[in-house]
Amino acid sequence: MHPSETRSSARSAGRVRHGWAWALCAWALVSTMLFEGRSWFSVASVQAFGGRDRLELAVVDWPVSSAAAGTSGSSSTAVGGTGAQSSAARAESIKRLLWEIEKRTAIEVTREPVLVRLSDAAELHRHPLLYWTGDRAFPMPGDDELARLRHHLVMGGMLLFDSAEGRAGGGFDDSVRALVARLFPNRSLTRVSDDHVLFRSFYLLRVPAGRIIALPQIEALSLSDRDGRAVIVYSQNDLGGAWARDRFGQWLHEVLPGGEPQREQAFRLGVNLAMYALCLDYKADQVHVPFIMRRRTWQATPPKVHTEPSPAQRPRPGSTPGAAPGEPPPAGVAPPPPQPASPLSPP
Amino acid sequence: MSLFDWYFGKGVFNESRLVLLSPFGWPGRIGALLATLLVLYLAVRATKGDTRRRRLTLLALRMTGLLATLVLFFQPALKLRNVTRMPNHIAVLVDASSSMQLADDSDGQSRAARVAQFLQKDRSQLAALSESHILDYYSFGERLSPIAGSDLTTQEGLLSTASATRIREALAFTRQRYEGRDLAGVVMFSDGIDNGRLSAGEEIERKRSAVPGQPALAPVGLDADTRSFLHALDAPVHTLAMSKPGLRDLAIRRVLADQFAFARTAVEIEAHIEVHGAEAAGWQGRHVPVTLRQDGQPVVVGNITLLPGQTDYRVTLPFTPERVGKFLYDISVPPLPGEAITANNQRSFVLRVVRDKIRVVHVAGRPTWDVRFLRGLLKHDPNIDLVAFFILRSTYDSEFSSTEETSLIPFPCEELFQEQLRSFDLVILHNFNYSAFCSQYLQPAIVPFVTEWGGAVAMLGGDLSFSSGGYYSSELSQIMPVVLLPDDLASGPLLVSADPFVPRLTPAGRSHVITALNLDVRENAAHWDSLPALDGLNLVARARPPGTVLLAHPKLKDDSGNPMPVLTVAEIGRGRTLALQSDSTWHWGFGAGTGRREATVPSREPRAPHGDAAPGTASPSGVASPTAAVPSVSLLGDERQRGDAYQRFWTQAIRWLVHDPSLRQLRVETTETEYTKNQPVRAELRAFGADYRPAPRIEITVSLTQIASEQSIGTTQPAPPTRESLTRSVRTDDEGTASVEWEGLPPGGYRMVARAVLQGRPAEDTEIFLVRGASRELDSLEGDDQLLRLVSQETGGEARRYTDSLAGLPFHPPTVVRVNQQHEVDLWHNWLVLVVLIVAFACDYTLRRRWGYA
Repeated sequence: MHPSETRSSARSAGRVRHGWAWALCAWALVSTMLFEGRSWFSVASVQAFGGRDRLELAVVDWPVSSAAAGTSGSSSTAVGGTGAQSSAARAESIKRLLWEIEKRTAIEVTREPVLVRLSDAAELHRHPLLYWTGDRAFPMPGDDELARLRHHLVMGGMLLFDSAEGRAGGGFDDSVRALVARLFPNRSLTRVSDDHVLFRSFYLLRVPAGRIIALPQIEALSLSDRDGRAVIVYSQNDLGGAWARDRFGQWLHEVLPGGEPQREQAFRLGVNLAMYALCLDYKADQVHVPFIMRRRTWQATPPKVHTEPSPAQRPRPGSTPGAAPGEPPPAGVAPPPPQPASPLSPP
Repeated sequence: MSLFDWYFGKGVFNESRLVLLSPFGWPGRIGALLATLLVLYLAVRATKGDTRRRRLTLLALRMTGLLATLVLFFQPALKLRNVTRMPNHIAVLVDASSSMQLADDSDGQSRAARVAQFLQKDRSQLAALSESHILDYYSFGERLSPIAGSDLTTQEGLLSTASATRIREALAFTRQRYEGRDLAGVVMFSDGIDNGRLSAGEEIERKRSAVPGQPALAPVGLDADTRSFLHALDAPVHTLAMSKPGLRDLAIRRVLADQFAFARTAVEIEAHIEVHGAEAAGWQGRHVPVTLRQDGQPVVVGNITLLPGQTDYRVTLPFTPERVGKFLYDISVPPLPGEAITANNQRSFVLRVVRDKIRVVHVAGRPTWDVRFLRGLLKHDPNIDLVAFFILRSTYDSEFSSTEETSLIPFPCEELFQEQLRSFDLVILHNFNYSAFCSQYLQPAIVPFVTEWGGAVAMLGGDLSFSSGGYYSSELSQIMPVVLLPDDLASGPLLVSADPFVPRLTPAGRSHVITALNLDVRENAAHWDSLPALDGLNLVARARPPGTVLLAHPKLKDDSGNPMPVLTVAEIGRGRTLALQSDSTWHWGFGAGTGRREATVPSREPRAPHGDAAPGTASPSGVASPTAAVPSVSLLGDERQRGDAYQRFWTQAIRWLVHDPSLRQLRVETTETEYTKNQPVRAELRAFGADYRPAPRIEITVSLTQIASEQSIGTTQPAPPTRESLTRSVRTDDEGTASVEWEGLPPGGYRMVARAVLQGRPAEDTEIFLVRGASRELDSLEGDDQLLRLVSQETGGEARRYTDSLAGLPFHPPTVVRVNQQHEVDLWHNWLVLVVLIVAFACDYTLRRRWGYA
């Protein structure tokens, strides 16, 4: 037999086999629609029911400081991103996180992020989980907005601050702390302890990693020591930067210093934050403790602090970062102040 | 022959007494004596230094004169009487308690018959005593009652039916009865079984007796108070013990149980069992089951093994009460062959089972905001013990990581729904599709959990709930207060509606406790209208009788043409169920600003709905925080009210589901848990309206049913409960209260059920109580001779037994006399006294002058 004939026969036979396969798939599809219609329609009903009770991530629409933005009278939102990041890119990062949450967990999400204004109380109170990100200072909300935001948080809402400045401290950090001080003068942001339920609400985490690890910790504020519910969570590691990808599916930012495993950790932290918002301290219940303690034998490498270089040193998107893993923070970045013991230890 | 007999004649006077007739009284007499002593002293002083002969002569004359003066002053006389002594009283007390009916051994003679025999045998001594005393006969038990002596000498003896023996009280009444009269003594016939103050634990010292035939705990001494009481009787108490060794009996002597226990928390009941005559009866080595029953059903069984020489046994019966309420328990041992009495083989008690915390299991099919807010509420309620299980990752979700990297745990279906389900008060199925996880465990357990065990189930809406969760053909649907739509979606109806809506109160919802956000009905309706809209609704066919629809859809109709139910509740068997076909009530707690804005509402800081600390409140030091200066908006006051609505709604729903006693609109409660026989039973009734204000002028029907009876002595089986209801109707006063009273109820356990119609809705409440018959009288039937002996010793009496006699018993002699004749002989009214007085003073004067005294 000629070798080419053999190859032709094989190709012919392969077409035949593929044909059967396609027919089989078509039959399965039709029969599924005919005889398993319930599941199809159930999915449809799920989509139709209770759309409001899906997880929506509401991004706080608040203007950046005109001085910090360098433009007079600009009113770009806090989502406006850091440097070259656009609001569209930030929105993509939220969409990506929501997609991941839906795929990984039982949480039903609305994949499109929602922009909310603090001045719109009705819309604000439809979204218990707020996301506030930025890379520069922002003006302080007025008294009415503060009162609404405070009411929102006291009544059960949660606010996630995500600094995209690429370093600890900075204008956004100053604004966040000033805002928190005005919201709750008697309380303050404190370091979230390693055994806080936030680190085990779904994934067992040790590192609150983001695009960078400017600060190997996250901070939170609770309204009472007894309750411990974190109403404000603050990360300075640019979580949104790690989640963001473009329309072609490419990651928009390098994740430093850990690379892709660190990006995965950032997603896991995002999942945990969403799970914590919806389940509170569910994983602190006694029934979970034996399982979690056993699995806690899994250890991760202690994180190394990585701070983004100054704007002059900031790499272009997609380029190789200038700071090597493990490199000490650049000059001018104040080390994190000593934090008091966290009141957020689980009950 | 005495001088009086010689002078007045024999037998005219038989009693004499010296009396002073001076009219000056004791002060005058004392003054006269003092004056006499002063004169005598001056006389001695004046003669000092003189010769002995002269001094003695002068003092003798002076004393003679003074003595004669005193006689004239005091005016002594001799009172002569002819008297007759009246016979005093002997109180004969005969024990008429139930234990006196007991025959100690096989001869069949009861202790009461032994009293009759004794009195019959000793009638000569009785006759002798009757000559100098009056014999008064009394029976005693719970109280002292006079009886005729002839009643005691019949062959049957005294009818012994008293349910208690109170020796000290009987003696106290005897003393009281003879106050001011002459009591020669007391003769007491008894078996020594006392259950009054005399043998109360704090008044008598007891220790284990080594004397065979004596009770295991024999008294060795009476306490000071009892001794003082017995001394105060001032009469000898002679005791005659009528019990006889050889008693064969098995008795539940004591039950140690708290007055209340916590539901689903192990409680221990301790039974003290006393066994007599085990050797003689051949019971040694026998295993005796000790059974604890509730409402006639065995709960737990313990065992004792009868050992030689041991009379006291203690059995601990641990059990876990499942339901909340008052229950009648009884502990019993089976009758043994040859046992003297079986009435003491069973003992009843009432136990109130209360709830320490409401145990809630919250199962959610996926994390949602509704789940989060309800968890927050449940978790922060200190009265709720929460166990939660949320499905965090379903089989449809991708597994990007191993389970070891997550905190996920397997869903403990078997443990939760099969082993531990009874330990919960409430199961909340929150958008939970049971069929994917726990079908084989949940299905068979959930219906009996509600109908038989009084549990509660709440199903909350969502895409995984009701018909869209596949519950249509489940057993759970049979106890739901709504009829589910078939889930054959290919040809069936839609299962959900996604249109937002504001639910409307139904007529039943306007007055139901779950939907009472405000006390005022109009304010409540307005409050509901102002709440944020719900986002979607699980559609159902209709409400299932006896379900009550509290909230309904404003537009949608069910298949019977009525408004589509949104919130429906029902009482199914002993339990309750709730169906809320929405998963967006969290908007009520989050204060979504879709309601009316009230500009006039004063500015107030929001209050955390789930125990969060609100800002702006005073710090622990009492200083207001700076937040108070932060201006607020008027919108917040309205929102805070709506936030309270969520908490109030769910708190009341949970309390209603678990039969929280405080939510009962009709309440009946007896003044006591246990009554003694013949004690009137009084019950207080209170009626409340839907707003929990007192409901005046409400007619309440109270029915009383005996649910357990008590065996009496002489019967082998307890009389069956009458099961006949005694019904009365009462009407509440302006305060919404009423009372009802029964008298003369036979011993046993009773259930009292109060029923009324409050604002068109039937209300009912139940109370359990116990009427004790023989009570402690039968706890221990062994005669207590030692106790009788102690009583006799303390009063100066003698302790004798039924084989002895009354001969030689000492009694106080009669002190009351009758004066037949009396005569007074004045000793001072005599010329001799005057002569002595004159001669003495004259000689005294003469000699003083002669011997040179002035």
